[in-house]
Amino acid sequence: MTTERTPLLKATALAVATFSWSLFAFLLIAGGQALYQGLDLGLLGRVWNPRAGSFGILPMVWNTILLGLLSAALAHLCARCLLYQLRPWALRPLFWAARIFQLVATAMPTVVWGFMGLLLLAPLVREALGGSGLSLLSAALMLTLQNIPVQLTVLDEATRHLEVTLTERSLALGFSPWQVSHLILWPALGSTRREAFLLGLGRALGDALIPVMVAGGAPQFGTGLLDSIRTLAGHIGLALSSEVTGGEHMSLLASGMLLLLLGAGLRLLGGHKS
Amino acid sequence: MKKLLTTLFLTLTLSSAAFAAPEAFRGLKGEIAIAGGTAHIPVMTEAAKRIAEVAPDVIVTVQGGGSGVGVKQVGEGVVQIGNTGRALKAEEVEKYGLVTWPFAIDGVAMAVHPENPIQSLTSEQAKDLWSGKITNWSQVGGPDMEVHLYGREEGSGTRQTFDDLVIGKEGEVAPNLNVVASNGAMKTAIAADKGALGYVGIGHIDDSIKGLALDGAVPNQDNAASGAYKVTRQLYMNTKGQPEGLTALFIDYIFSPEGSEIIRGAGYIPLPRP
Repeated sequence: MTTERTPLLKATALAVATFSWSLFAFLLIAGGQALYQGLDLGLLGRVWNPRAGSFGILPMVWNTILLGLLSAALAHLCARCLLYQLRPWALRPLFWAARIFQLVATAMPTVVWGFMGLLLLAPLVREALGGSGLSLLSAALMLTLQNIPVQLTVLDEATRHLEVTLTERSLALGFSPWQVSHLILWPALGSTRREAFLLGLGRALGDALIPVMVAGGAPQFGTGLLDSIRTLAGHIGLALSSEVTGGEHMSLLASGMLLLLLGAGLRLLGGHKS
Repeated sequence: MKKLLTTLFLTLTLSSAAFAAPEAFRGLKGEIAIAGGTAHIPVMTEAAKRIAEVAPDVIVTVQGGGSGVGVKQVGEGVVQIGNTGRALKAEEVEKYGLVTWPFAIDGVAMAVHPENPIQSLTSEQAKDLWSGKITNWSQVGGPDMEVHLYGREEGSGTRQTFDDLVIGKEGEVAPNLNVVASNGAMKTAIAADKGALGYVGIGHIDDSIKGLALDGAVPNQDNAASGAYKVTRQLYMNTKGQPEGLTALFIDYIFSPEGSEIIRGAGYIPLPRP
């Protein structure tokens, strides 16, 4: 890199940082203001019923965390299984099945996952388990599929680095592939596992399209897998066309701020990894 | 002299629009952006199509988003025409300086899957269904099948009409109501779910869903026009101030005899120019 370009890079970085921080500041101030002003409207209440003057977004907060944890945990398990199939000892057809899934799923736009959930999964859930099919379960399954490649890619990259030193020696010592994978490589991944999970969780918490299309959008506390639910991001999508003043509008700003804080909290939990 | 000629040209163009539309667009260039109420889309897209046939350089873009989006986007100058399925509120007119153009009457009808044998509901049954007191179709003379409720998002004019005229100010809405974001999405949801109960603009009823009579009044264009079917509302185009240029021509076209034909073709009842 030539030194003449350094000022340009610095200016670009500064502009991006200033713009981003301005947005964060706006969201924090406007969201905080909305939360404060919305206390009388029950913004932090348990009931969302604008007809009755109740604008509580706690059900959305609960549903966001529930759906995020469920889908990120399922995706973590699936990613671990697929990781095993991406190693040298895997049968070739299984290796390629896992690799192709990883490549295709990584490139799949979220809206396509949502569309498939609406057209294929929701009717299946409705016929097999009852309810409308638009539910916590359907949304969790589609978010899991979207989430697997995110976590798998992080885990796979880290595993490749470890393989060079660990795999051949372990196999030479007589360990089976299963033992190498689960007793040596997986523990050696250490904090990368947490990184992958938190990255997936962050994606799941902030996704709006899949919850809007597949979760049903009911502003109630989700307690069962077949319950129709609304998340914070989904709420922003659904209430965006409401009036520019009043409880609905304040709930949008508060939801945005809470999502930002959730994301920042996750980042802090994950720590910084060089 | 030049000013006089320009004025004369515009006057002739604008006055001729009412009689010869869409010929009035021939030879003109430009863009008209329209957004908002989804009930309006069939009328707007058909008008856009006919204009494109004689004036390919006049680009009319039509987007949905709901009534709230229509108000916001026209108010902020993002589009030239913002559609709403409800009358503008005083604060919206004041804030944005909007001028409103009611052009059609639409009914809002409850709709079910075509295989559901229910043909009609009373007002009381409707209220009990929407409040969640009735949860099985057998309770209103239908098959033993769970009722799955579908409603519209916050800010929807269709929702507001239905809430005001069917559920009533004091009525309740079940918290497990699934929420969809357009009349089209509502049709898709109802057509795929045998237990569904939702509502759409009368113009959206076709073979894929079945409209339900309310207190014996069948939801159709004639009954809406005569007042026999009472769940009706007006559809509005809204402009920021008095429309000019292509926007004025478009509004003239909607109020022209050909515009009325398009409105009737979409299942609505045309209104005279205010």
